[in-house]
Amino acid sequence: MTGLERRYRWLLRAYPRAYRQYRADEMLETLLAAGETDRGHPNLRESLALLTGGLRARTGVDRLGSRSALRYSALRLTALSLLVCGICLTAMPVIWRLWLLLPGTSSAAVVSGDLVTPALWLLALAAAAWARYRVALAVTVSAFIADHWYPVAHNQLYVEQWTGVTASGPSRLEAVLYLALDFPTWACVLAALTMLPLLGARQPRVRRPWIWLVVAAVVVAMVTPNPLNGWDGGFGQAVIVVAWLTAAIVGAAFDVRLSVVASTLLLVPILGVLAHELMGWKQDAWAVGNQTLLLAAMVGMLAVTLTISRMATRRQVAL
Amino acid sequence: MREPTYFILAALQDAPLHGYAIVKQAQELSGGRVRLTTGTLYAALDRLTGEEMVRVAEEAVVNGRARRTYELTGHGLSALHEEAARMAAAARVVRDRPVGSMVATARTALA
Repeated sequence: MTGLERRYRWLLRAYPRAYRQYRADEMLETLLAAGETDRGHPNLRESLALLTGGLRARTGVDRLGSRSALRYSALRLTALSLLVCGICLTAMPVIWRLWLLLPGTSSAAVVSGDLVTPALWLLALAAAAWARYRVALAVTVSAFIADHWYPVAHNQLYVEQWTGVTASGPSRLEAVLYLALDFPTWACVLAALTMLPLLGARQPRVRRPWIWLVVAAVVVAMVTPNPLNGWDGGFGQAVIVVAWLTAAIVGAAFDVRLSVVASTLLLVPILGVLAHELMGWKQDAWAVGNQTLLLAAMVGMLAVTLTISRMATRRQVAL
Repeated sequence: MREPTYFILAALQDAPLHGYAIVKQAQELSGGRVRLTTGTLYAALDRLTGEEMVRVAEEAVVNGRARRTYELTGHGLSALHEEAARMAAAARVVRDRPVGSMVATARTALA
Protein backbone atom coordinates (compact mmCIF):
# COMPACT_ATOMS: atom_id res chain seq x y z
CA MET A 1 0.00 0.00 0.00
CA THR A 2 1.49 3.35 -1.06
CA GLY A 3 1.48 6.48 1.09
CA LEU A 4 -1.08 8.10 -1.19
CA GLU A 5 -3.40 5.11 -0.96
CA ARG A 6 -3.08 5.05 2.82
CA ARG A 7 -3.94 8.76 3.01
CA TYR A 8 -6.95 8.39 0.72
CA ARG A 9 -8.14 5.43 2.78
CA TRP A 10 -7.92 7.63 5.86
CA LEU A 11 -9.99 10.36 4.16
CA LEU A 12 -12.56 7.78 3.09
CA ARG A 13 -13.24 7.16 6.77
CA ALA A 14 -15.42 10.28 6.58
CA TYR A 15 -18.04 7.98 5.00
CA PRO A 16 -20.18 5.65 7.14
CA ARG A 17 -18.87 2.13 7.60
CA ALA A 18 -21.63 0.47 5.57
CA TYR A 19 -21.00 2.85 2.68
CA ARG A 20 -17.26 2.22 2.83
CA GLN A 21 -17.79 -1.53 2.69
CA TYR A 22 -19.70 -1.09 -0.57
CA ARG A 23 -17.80 1.76 -2.17
CA ALA A 24 -14.34 2.38 -0.64
CA ASP A 25 -12.36 0.10 -2.99
CA GLU A 26 -14.06 1.46 -6.07
CA MET A 27 -13.59 5.07 -4.97
CA LEU A 28 -9.96 4.41 -4.15
CA GLU A 29 -9.40 2.95 -7.60
CA THR A 30 -10.87 6.12 -9.16
CA LEU A 31 -8.93 8.42 -6.82
CA LEU A 32 -5.62 6.76 -7.62
CA ALA A 33 -6.36 6.78 -11.34
CA ALA A 34 -7.54 10.40 -11.33
CA GLY A 35 -4.72 11.73 -9.16
CA GLU A 36 -1.11 12.00 -10.10
CA THR A 37 0.11 8.73 -8.65
CA ASP A 38 3.65 10.02 -8.23
CA ARG A 39 2.40 12.48 -5.61
CA GLY A 40 2.60 11.47 -2.01
CA HIS A 41 -0.29 13.66 -0.83
CA PRO A 42 -3.96 13.66 -1.78
CA ASN A 43 -5.24 16.45 -3.99
CA LEU A 44 -6.80 19.24 -1.84
CA ARG A 45 -9.91 19.51 -4.03
CA GLU A 46 -10.44 15.75 -3.89
CA SER A 47 -9.85 15.73 -0.13
CA LEU A 48 -12.45 18.43 0.54
CA ALA A 49 -14.94 16.66 -1.74
CA LEU A 50 -14.38 13.40 0.13
CA LEU A 51 -14.89 15.05 3.53
CA THR A 52 -18.02 16.86 2.34
CA GLY A 53 -19.35 13.74 0.63
CA GLY A 54 -18.68 11.67 3.75
CA LEU A 55 -20.53 14.10 6.00
CA ARG A 56 -23.41 14.28 3.54
CA ALA A 57 -23.60 10.51 3.48
CA ARG A 58 -23.60 10.45 7.27
CA THR A 59 -26.39 13.03 7.59
CA GLY A 60 -28.42 11.19 4.95
CA VAL A 61 -29.24 14.39 3.04
CA ASP A 62 -28.22 12.75 -0.24
CA ARG A 63 -30.89 10.10 0.19
CA LEU A 64 -33.66 12.74 0.24
CA GLY A 65 -34.64 12.35 -3.36
CA SER A 66 -37.34 14.96 -3.78
CA ARG A 67 -38.17 18.52 -2.82
CA SER A 68 -41.02 17.33 -0.57
CA ALA A 69 -38.75 14.84 1.24
CA LEU A 70 -36.20 17.59 1.83
CA ARG A 71 -38.94 19.92 3.08
CA TYR A 72 -40.34 17.28 5.44
CA SER A 73 -36.90 16.48 6.80
CA ALA A 74 -35.94 20.16 7.25
CA LEU A 75 -39.22 20.85 9.07
CA ARG A 76 -38.73 17.82 11.29
CA LEU A 77 -35.17 18.78 12.19
CA THR A 78 -36.25 22.37 12.84
CA ALA A 79 -39.12 21.29 15.11
CA LEU A 80 -36.87 18.94 17.06
CA SER A 81 -34.15 21.58 17.40
CA LEU A 82 -36.68 24.12 18.69
CA LEU A 83 -37.88 21.59 21.25
CA VAL A 84 -34.27 21.00 22.36
CA CYS A 85 -33.89 24.79 22.50
CA GLY A 86 -36.98 24.95 24.74
CA ILE A 87 -35.48 22.35 27.07
CA CYS A 88 -32.21 24.32 27.25
CA LEU A 89 -34.08 27.51 28.08
CA THR A 90 -36.11 26.00 30.91
CA ALA A 91 -33.86 23.28 32.28
CA MET A 92 -31.82 25.31 34.76
CA PRO A 93 -33.97 24.50 37.85
CA VAL A 94 -33.77 20.78 37.01
CA ILE A 95 -29.99 20.89 36.50
CA TRP A 96 -29.55 22.82 39.74
CA ARG A 97 -31.54 20.23 41.68
CA LEU A 98 -29.64 17.36 40.04
CA TRP A 99 -26.38 19.12 40.87
CA LEU A 100 -27.36 19.25 44.55
CA LEU A 101 -28.05 15.51 44.53
CA LEU A 102 -24.39 14.82 43.74
CA PRO A 103 -22.36 13.83 46.83
CA GLY A 104 -20.39 16.70 48.38
CA THR A 105 -22.15 19.51 46.51
CA SER A 106 -23.97 22.41 48.07
CA SER A 107 -25.10 25.83 46.99
CA ALA A 108 -26.05 28.97 48.82
CA ALA A 109 -27.94 30.27 45.79
CA VAL A 110 -31.46 29.18 45.09
CA VAL A 111 -32.47 28.51 41.51
CA SER A 112 -36.19 28.60 41.69
CA GLY A 113 -38.35 27.54 38.84
CA ASP A 114 -40.80 25.16 37.44
CA LEU A 115 -39.92 21.48 36.99
CA VAL A 116 -43.06 20.64 35.03
CA THR A 117 -42.20 22.83 32.03
CA PRO A 118 -38.85 21.17 31.14
CA ALA A 119 -40.46 17.77 31.71
CA LEU A 120 -43.21 18.67 29.25
CA TRP A 121 -40.66 19.97 26.71
CA LEU A 122 -38.80 16.67 27.07
CA LEU A 123 -42.01 14.72 26.54
CA ALA A 124 -42.80 16.78 23.44
CA LEU A 125 -39.31 16.12 22.12
CA ALA A 126 -39.71 12.37 22.64
CA ALA A 127 -43.09 12.39 20.87
CA ALA A 128 -41.76 14.44 17.95
CA ALA A 129 -38.64 12.27 17.68
CA TRP A 130 -40.91 9.26 17.10
CA ALA A 131 -42.98 11.30 14.61
CA ARG A 132 -46.01 11.55 16.95
CA TYR A 133 -46.56 15.17 16.00
CA ARG A 134 -50.14 15.49 17.28
CA VAL A 135 -49.06 14.42 20.77
CA ALA A 136 -45.94 16.60 20.51
CA LEU A 137 -48.01 19.64 19.54
CA ALA A 138 -50.47 19.13 22.41
CA VAL A 139 -47.63 18.70 24.92
CA THR A 140 -45.81 21.76 23.54
CA VAL A 141 -48.93 23.85 24.11
CA SER A 142 -49.12 22.41 27.66
CA ALA A 143 -45.47 23.42 28.20
CA PHE A 144 -46.36 26.94 27.09
CA ILE A 145 -49.21 27.10 29.61
CA ALA A 146 -47.09 25.63 32.42
CA ASP A 147 -44.24 28.03 31.65
CA HIS A 148 -46.53 31.01 32.12
CA TRP A 149 -48.66 29.75 34.92
CA TYR A 150 -45.79 28.94 37.29
CA PRO A 151 -44.01 32.33 37.59
CA VAL A 152 -47.24 34.27 37.90
CA ALA A 153 -48.66 31.86 40.42
CA HIS A 154 -45.45 31.91 42.46
CA ASN A 155 -44.86 35.66 42.18
CA GLN A 156 -41.43 35.42 40.57
CA LEU A 157 -39.20 38.31 41.52
CA TYR A 158 -37.46 38.65 38.21
CA VAL A 159 -40.62 39.93 36.60
CA GLU A 160 -40.59 42.85 39.01
CA GLN A 161 -36.87 43.34 38.59
CA TRP A 162 -36.97 43.80 34.83
CA THR A 163 -40.34 45.33 34.24
CA GLY A 164 -40.93 47.29 37.40
CA VAL A 165 -44.33 45.69 37.78
CA THR A 166 -45.38 43.19 40.37
CA ALA A 167 -46.50 39.74 39.39
CA SER A 168 -49.60 39.93 41.55
CA GLY A 169 -52.61 42.13 41.97
CA PRO A 170 -53.76 44.47 39.22
CA SER A 171 -50.51 44.29 37.20
CA ARG A 172 -50.58 40.50 36.90
CA LEU A 173 -51.72 40.86 33.30
CA GLU A 174 -48.63 42.90 32.52
CA ALA A 175 -46.43 40.27 34.16
CA VAL A 176 -48.09 37.59 32.05
CA LEU A 177 -47.43 39.71 28.98
CA TYR A 178 -43.76 40.06 29.95
CA LEU A 179 -43.45 36.29 30.28
CA ALA A 180 -45.45 35.69 27.12
CA LEU A 181 -42.84 37.65 25.17
CA ASP A 182 -39.87 35.76 26.63
CA PHE A 183 -37.58 33.34 24.74
CA PRO A 184 -39.30 30.04 25.68
CA THR A 185 -42.56 31.41 24.28
CA TRP A 186 -41.01 32.02 20.90
CA ALA A 187 -39.36 28.61 20.92
CA CYS A 188 -42.78 27.17 21.74
CA VAL A 189 -44.66 29.16 19.08
CA LEU A 190 -42.10 28.40 16.38
CA ALA A 191 -42.00 24.69 17.32
CA ALA A 192 -45.80 24.52 17.12
CA LEU A 193 -45.86 26.34 13.77
CA THR A 194 -43.18 24.02 12.40
CA MET A 195 -45.07 20.95 13.53
CA LEU A 196 -48.36 22.02 11.94
CA PRO A 197 -47.35 21.15 8.34
CA LEU A 198 -45.92 17.86 9.61
CA LEU A 199 -49.34 16.76 10.89
CA GLY A 200 -50.67 16.17 7.41
CA ALA A 201 -47.44 14.98 5.81
CA ARG A 202 -46.81 11.38 4.89
CA GLN A 203 -44.56 10.20 7.65
CA PRO A 204 -41.63 8.00 6.76
CA ARG A 205 -40.80 5.34 9.33
CA VAL A 206 -38.48 6.77 11.96
CA ARG A 207 -35.45 4.69 12.72
CA ARG A 208 -32.98 5.33 15.52
CA PRO A 209 -33.86 9.00 16.13
CA TRP A 210 -31.60 9.24 19.18
CA ILE A 211 -28.27 9.33 17.37
CA TRP A 212 -28.76 12.73 15.80
CA LEU A 213 -30.76 13.97 18.78
CA VAL A 214 -27.71 13.72 21.03
CA VAL A 215 -25.69 15.70 18.48
CA ALA A 216 -28.50 18.21 17.95
CA ALA A 217 -28.98 18.69 21.70
CA VAL A 218 -25.30 19.48 22.18
CA VAL A 219 -25.20 21.86 19.21
CA VAL A 220 -28.41 23.65 20.16
CA ALA A 221 -27.29 23.94 23.78
CA MET A 222 -24.10 25.53 22.50
CA VAL A 223 -25.50 27.98 19.99
CA THR A 224 -28.79 29.14 21.42
CA PRO A 225 -28.97 31.75 24.16
CA ASN A 226 -29.70 29.77 27.28
CA PRO A 227 -28.53 29.64 30.88
CA LEU A 228 -26.56 26.45 30.21
CA ASN A 229 -23.95 28.09 28.00
CA GLY A 230 -23.43 31.35 29.91
CA TRP A 231 -25.14 33.45 27.26
CA ASP A 232 -25.27 36.41 29.66
CA GLY A 233 -21.49 36.76 29.59
CA GLY A 234 -19.85 38.93 26.90
CA PHE A 235 -17.30 36.26 25.95
CA GLY A 236 -19.95 33.56 25.81
CA GLN A 237 -22.04 35.67 23.43
CA ALA A 238 -19.11 36.27 21.08
CA VAL A 239 -18.28 32.55 21.00
CA ILE A 240 -21.90 31.64 20.38
CA VAL A 241 -22.27 34.18 17.57
CA VAL A 242 -19.15 32.82 15.84
CA ALA A 243 -20.26 29.21 16.40
CA TRP A 244 -23.68 30.04 14.99
CA LEU A 245 -22.41 31.63 11.82
CA THR A 246 -19.82 28.87 11.33
CA ALA A 247 -22.48 26.20 11.79
CA ALA A 248 -24.73 27.94 9.25
CA ILE A 249 -22.04 28.49 6.63
CA VAL A 250 -20.07 25.26 6.99
CA GLY A 251 -23.22 23.24 7.64
CA ALA A 252 -24.85 24.51 4.45
CA ALA A 253 -21.95 23.08 2.45
CA PHE A 254 -22.98 19.54 3.28
CA ASP A 255 -26.52 19.72 4.63
CA VAL A 256 -28.93 22.52 3.78
CA ARG A 257 -31.13 21.50 6.69
CA LEU A 258 -28.53 22.79 9.15
CA SER A 259 -28.68 26.32 7.80
CA VAL A 260 -32.50 26.18 7.82
CA VAL A 261 -32.39 25.09 11.48
CA ALA A 262 -29.82 27.80 12.32
CA SER A 263 -32.01 30.48 10.73
CA THR A 264 -35.11 29.37 12.63
CA LEU A 265 -33.29 29.08 15.94
CA LEU A 266 -32.00 32.60 15.45
CA LEU A 267 -35.60 33.80 15.31
CA VAL A 268 -36.07 32.79 18.97
CA PRO A 269 -33.76 35.47 20.47
CA ILE A 270 -34.63 37.97 17.74
CA LEU A 271 -38.35 37.81 18.43
CA GLY A 272 -37.75 37.75 22.19
CA VAL A 273 -35.52 40.81 22.21
CA LEU A 274 -37.62 42.62 19.62
CA ALA A 275 -40.77 42.15 21.68
CA HIS A 276 -39.07 43.42 24.83
CA GLU A 277 -37.52 46.31 22.92
CA LEU A 278 -40.94 47.35 21.66
CA MET A 279 -42.36 47.21 25.19
CA GLY A 280 -39.41 49.13 26.63
CA TRP A 281 -38.33 46.18 28.82
CA LYS A 282 -34.87 44.78 29.30
CA GLN A 283 -34.36 41.18 28.41
CA ASP A 284 -32.90 39.47 31.46
CA ALA A 285 -30.67 37.13 29.45
CA TRP A 286 -28.97 40.05 27.70
CA ALA A 287 -26.52 41.74 30.00
CA VAL A 288 -25.28 44.10 27.33
CA GLY A 289 -25.24 47.86 27.11
CA ASN A 290 -26.81 48.28 23.70
CA GLN A 291 -29.67 45.90 23.16
CA THR A 292 -30.64 47.59 19.88
CA LEU A 293 -27.17 47.09 18.41
CA LEU A 294 -27.21 43.43 19.36
CA LEU A 295 -30.66 43.05 17.85
CA ALA A 296 -29.39 44.60 14.61
CA ALA A 297 -26.40 42.21 14.64
CA MET A 298 -28.72 39.24 15.06
CA VAL A 299 -30.97 40.40 12.24
CA GLY A 300 -27.84 40.70 10.09
CA MET A 301 -26.86 37.15 11.02
CA LEU A 302 -30.36 36.01 10.15
CA ALA A 303 -30.04 37.63 6.71
CA VAL A 304 -26.75 35.80 6.17
CA THR A 305 -28.10 32.42 7.26
CA LEU A 306 -31.28 32.87 5.21
CA THR A 307 -29.26 33.72 2.09
CA ILE A 308 -27.06 30.70 2.66
CA SER A 309 -30.12 28.49 3.22
CA ARG A 310 -31.69 29.74 0.01
CA MET A 311 -28.57 29.15 -2.05
CA ALA A 312 -27.98 25.73 -0.51
CA THR A 313 -31.62 24.70 -1.05
CA ARG A 314 -31.45 25.64 -4.72
CA ARG A 315 -28.26 23.66 -5.12
CA GLN A 316 -29.69 20.67 -3.25
CA VAL A 317 -32.96 20.62 -5.18
CA ALA A 318 -31.36 21.19 -8.59
CA LEU A 319 -28.76 18.47 -8.05
CA MET B 1 -30.63 19.19 -13.91
CA ARG B 2 -27.22 20.56 -12.93
CA GLU B 3 -24.33 20.56 -15.36
CA PRO B 4 -22.30 17.76 -13.68
CA THR B 5 -25.34 15.47 -13.70
CA TYR B 6 -26.01 16.28 -17.35
CA PHE B 7 -22.47 15.44 -18.38
CA ILE B 8 -22.37 12.24 -16.31
CA LEU B 9 -25.47 11.04 -18.17
CA ALA B 10 -24.02 12.30 -21.46
CA ALA B 11 -20.79 10.39 -20.79
CA LEU B 12 -22.74 7.16 -20.44
CA GLN B 13 -24.90 7.48 -23.55
CA ASP B 14 -22.51 5.64 -25.88
CA ALA B 15 -21.16 2.83 -23.73
CA PRO B 16 -20.99 1.67 -20.11
CA LEU B 17 -18.06 3.21 -18.25
CA HIS B 18 -16.34 2.83 -14.86
CA GLY B 19 -15.77 5.74 -12.45
CA TYR B 20 -12.52 7.16 -13.75
CA ALA B 21 -13.64 6.82 -17.38
CA ILE B 22 -16.81 8.80 -16.54
CA VAL B 23 -14.68 11.58 -15.03
CA LYS B 24 -12.49 11.76 -18.16
CA GLN B 25 -15.41 11.54 -20.60
CA ALA B 26 -17.43 14.24 -18.77
CA GLN B 27 -14.40 16.53 -18.81
CA GLU B 28 -13.84 15.93 -22.52
CA LEU B 29 -17.51 16.41 -23.50
CA SER B 30 -17.74 19.66 -21.54
CA GLY B 31 -14.56 21.06 -23.08
CA GLY B 32 -12.76 20.80 -19.73
CA ARG B 33 -15.42 22.78 -17.83
CA VAL B 34 -16.76 19.91 -15.73
CA ARG B 35 -14.01 18.44 -13.56
CA LEU B 36 -15.72 15.91 -11.35
CA THR B 37 -14.15 14.96 -8.05
CA THR B 38 -14.47 11.37 -6.91
CA GLY B 39 -16.72 12.38 -4.00
CA THR B 40 -19.08 14.31 -6.30
CA LEU B 41 -19.09 11.54 -8.91
CA TYR B 42 -20.11 8.77 -6.53
CA ALA B 43 -22.69 10.94 -4.75
CA ALA B 44 -24.22 11.65 -8.17
CA LEU B 45 -24.04 7.97 -9.19
CA ASP B 46 -25.74 6.93 -5.94
CA ARG B 47 -28.53 9.41 -6.57
CA LEU B 48 -28.91 8.55 -10.24
CA THR B 49 -28.96 4.84 -9.40
CA GLY B 50 -31.66 5.53 -6.82
CA GLU B 51 -33.67 7.43 -9.43
CA GLU B 52 -33.18 4.54 -11.87
CA MET B 53 -31.44 6.71 -14.44
CA VAL B 54 -28.22 4.72 -14.16
CA ARG B 55 -27.52 1.10 -13.22
CA VAL B 56 -24.52 -1.08 -12.56
CA ALA B 57 -23.71 -2.93 -15.78
CA GLU B 58 -20.82 -5.03 -14.55
CA GLU B 59 -18.78 -5.66 -11.42
CA ALA B 60 -15.19 -6.80 -11.74
CA VAL B 61 -12.06 -6.99 -9.59
CA VAL B 62 -9.11 -5.03 -10.96
CA ASN B 63 -5.80 -4.80 -9.06
CA GLY B 64 -7.52 -6.55 -6.18
CA ARG B 65 -10.18 -3.83 -5.92
CA ALA B 66 -13.83 -3.77 -6.95
CA ARG B 67 -14.58 -1.86 -10.12
CA ARG B 68 -18.14 -1.24 -11.24
CA THR B 69 -19.18 -0.24 -14.72
CA TYR B 70 -22.27 1.93 -15.08
CA GLU B 71 -24.75 2.27 -17.92
CA LEU B 72 -27.68 4.51 -18.74
CA THR B 73 -31.22 3.14 -18.30
CA GLY B 74 -34.09 3.98 -20.64
CA HIS B 75 -35.39 6.45 -18.07
CA GLY B 76 -31.93 8.09 -17.83
CA LEU B 77 -31.65 8.36 -21.61
CA SER B 78 -35.06 10.02 -21.95
CA ALA B 79 -34.23 12.43 -19.08
CA LEU B 80 -31.00 13.32 -20.87
CA HIS B 81 -32.82 13.89 -24.17
CA GLU B 82 -35.46 16.02 -22.45
CA GLU B 83 -32.78 18.19 -20.86
CA ALA B 84 -30.93 18.52 -24.17
CA ALA B 85 -34.18 19.55 -25.90
CA ARG B 86 -34.88 22.09 -23.16
CA MET B 87 -31.43 23.63 -23.52
CA ALA B 88 -31.70 23.63 -27.33
CA ALA B 89 -35.04 25.46 -27.10
CA ALA B 90 -33.47 27.98 -24.73
CA ALA B 91 -30.55 28.45 -27.15
CA ARG B 92 -32.95 28.98 -30.07
CA VAL B 93 -34.50 31.97 -28.28
CA VAL B 94 -31.18 33.76 -28.75
CA ARG B 95 -29.80 32.20 -31.93
CA ASP B 96 -32.91 32.24 -34.13
CA ARG B 97 -33.68 35.95 -33.79
CA PRO B 98 -34.11 37.77 -37.10
CA VAL B 99 -30.94 39.61 -38.19
CA GLY B 100 -32.83 42.93 -38.48
CA SER B 101 -33.97 42.88 -34.87
CA MET B 102 -30.45 42.05 -33.69
CA VAL B 103 -29.07 45.05 -35.60
CA ALA B 104 -31.79 47.29 -34.15
CA THR B 105 -30.99 46.07 -30.63
CA ALA B 106 -27.28 46.73 -31.18
CA ARG B 107 -28.01 50.25 -32.48
CA THR B 108 -30.23 51.00 -29.47
CA ALA B 109 -27.52 49.78 -27.13
CA LEU B 110 -24.89 51.92 -28.85
CA ALA B 111 -27.05 55.04 -28.97
